[in-house]
Amino acid sequence: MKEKPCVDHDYCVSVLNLIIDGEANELEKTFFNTHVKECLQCSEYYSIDQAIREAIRKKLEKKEAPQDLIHLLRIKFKESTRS
Amino acid sequence: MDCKKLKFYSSEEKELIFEDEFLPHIHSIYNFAYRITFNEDDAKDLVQETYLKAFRFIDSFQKGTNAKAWLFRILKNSFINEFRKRSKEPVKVDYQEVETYYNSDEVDQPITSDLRIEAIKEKIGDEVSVAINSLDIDFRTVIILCDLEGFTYEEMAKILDIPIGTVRSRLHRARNLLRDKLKVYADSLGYT
Repeated sequence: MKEKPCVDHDYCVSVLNLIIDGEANELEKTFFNTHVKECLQCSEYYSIDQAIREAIRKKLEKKEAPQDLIHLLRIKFKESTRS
Repeated sequence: MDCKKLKFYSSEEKELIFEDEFLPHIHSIYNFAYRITFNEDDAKDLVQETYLKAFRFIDSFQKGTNAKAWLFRILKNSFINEFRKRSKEPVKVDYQEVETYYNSDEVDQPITSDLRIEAIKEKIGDEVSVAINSLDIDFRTVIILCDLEGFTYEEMAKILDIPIGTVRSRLHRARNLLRDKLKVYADSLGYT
């Protein structure tokens, strides 16, 4: 794998975002799969972004709506359908 | 709301929509409200306002379509149009957590290259929360919608009323900011 800086890192990062978000087209996927195997800079960048995204999904606390709020909304909904 | 697409539902149909299509997203909606207000009472008010508007405009909702995106869009509009104006609470960022970590012995623990990815996944979670909370609201929003809630670029464009190109560039900038904020931490793990 190349240790020298990527020749067009800005473009690579934009494609990398599309790959991570599942929004890349076939051309972009092919480019990425070929390039990332050869470029250490992009490979590490990709790993860090994936790690951050995974941490957001798995470790960021997800606040649950309080039961009293759900109960209140049900009451308000009943009222709105009666009026 | 698009009046051309109005469909007048019966009370029974409305109840089904409410229970089967609106209510299943209540926790995601509340979590998003909390992430943009940083306050449980404000988040409750915002969610209540969102659902009240959803009830009022339920006839403009097409049954079986993307209720989650529809509700998120209402919430975003409520936040921008009304809630944000009356909210005087400054943004709270808890840097104590980061400071505690950097002053601990954990920082100096050696780590092998084979474990770098696992280590960053394991420990970056705590830092991510602080880093996301410190992002500007527009950047925080796209990160939550995309990475936490799994919306597509197209859905985010509709929720936020911005072109897909703007979604992409905003997400790109948000990720760069996140990476910069987490770089010191990643460096401490010997990752970069």
